Amino acid sequence: MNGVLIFMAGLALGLGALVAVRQPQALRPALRDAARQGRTVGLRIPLGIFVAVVVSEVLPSGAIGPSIGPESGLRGILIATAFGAILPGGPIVTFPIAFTVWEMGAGPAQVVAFLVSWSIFAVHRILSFELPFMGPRFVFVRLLSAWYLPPVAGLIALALLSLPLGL
Amino acid sequence: MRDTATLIFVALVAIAAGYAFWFGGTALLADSAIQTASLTLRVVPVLTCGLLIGAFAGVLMPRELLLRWVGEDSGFRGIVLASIGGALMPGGPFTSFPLVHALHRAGAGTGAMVAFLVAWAAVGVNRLFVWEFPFMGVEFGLLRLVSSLPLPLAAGIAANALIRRFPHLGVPPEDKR
Repeated sequence: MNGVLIFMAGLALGLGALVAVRQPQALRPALRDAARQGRTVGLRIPLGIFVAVVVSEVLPSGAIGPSIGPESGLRGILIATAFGAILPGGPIVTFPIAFTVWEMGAGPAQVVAFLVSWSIFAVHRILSFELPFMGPRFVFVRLLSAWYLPPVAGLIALALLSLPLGL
Repeated sequence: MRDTATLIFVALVAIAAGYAFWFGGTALLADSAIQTASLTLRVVPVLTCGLLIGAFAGVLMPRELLLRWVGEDSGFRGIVLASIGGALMPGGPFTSFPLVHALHRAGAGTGAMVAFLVAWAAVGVNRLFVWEFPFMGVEFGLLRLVSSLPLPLAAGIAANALIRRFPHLGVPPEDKR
């Protein structure tokens, strides 16, 4: 966890320095933008985590393993895809849930399928952004072109996991 | 909009808290609160860096160049470039949908725009920094990233094939408000 933080802090500093050198006038707006996002997200994150923690305490931990555990294979990937597709809400709800399910013994390939499915079908985003901005015909074409992708990602993850990469 | 979202969150928390109390009394409620606090403290520093990375990357992103690369007849090359642009596009739907809308109206192909949105949503390098690394760790984040790399290409190719086969699915100019 500390390694991640050091890496991320380094990257943030590096990009910040690049902005300061190349477009110094854009530094202040960028910082203000990050702070505004942080305020919106920061307030809701503990709330999202709390909901996920309660769900994990109340759900029997044996319920997750057989259906979407590492041994559940393609069937688990399809179940995870279905869950991801019907999950309404942004990342503040989704990631605490993904983390909780992960801690309860879900398989990595199944969690990949869940997250990709959520990101492709994201009901709330289609309703509040894609339909108004792009129109129904575009949404239709996009869904028709992308609906099969979450299980594909899950299967790729499964294949990657079987490689001797130490994952 | 923002207030509705906050209200929904507060309502969800109230339901969860009530359920925890009913299920395990004050002990479970306190335990859940402590777990929430410790996970929040673990996530927040990394998330702060992620938000900064997103904001800085947004400044450095060459928008005009992108527009020149994903024109109507850019075909597979346009899909590849749109996928790269979408994957690296920082920010939430507030920033990317106005951009995609502008690109589409300026003449970007539908296949390229489908690829852009799928890349932004499913590959999402920015989301890797803001959400996946803090919550799920680097190893899982990279597994998810590599597994989703081919997806925008497949979606873009499929969208172009669909439109070639059924031309009436193509978005007519009057739909590109």
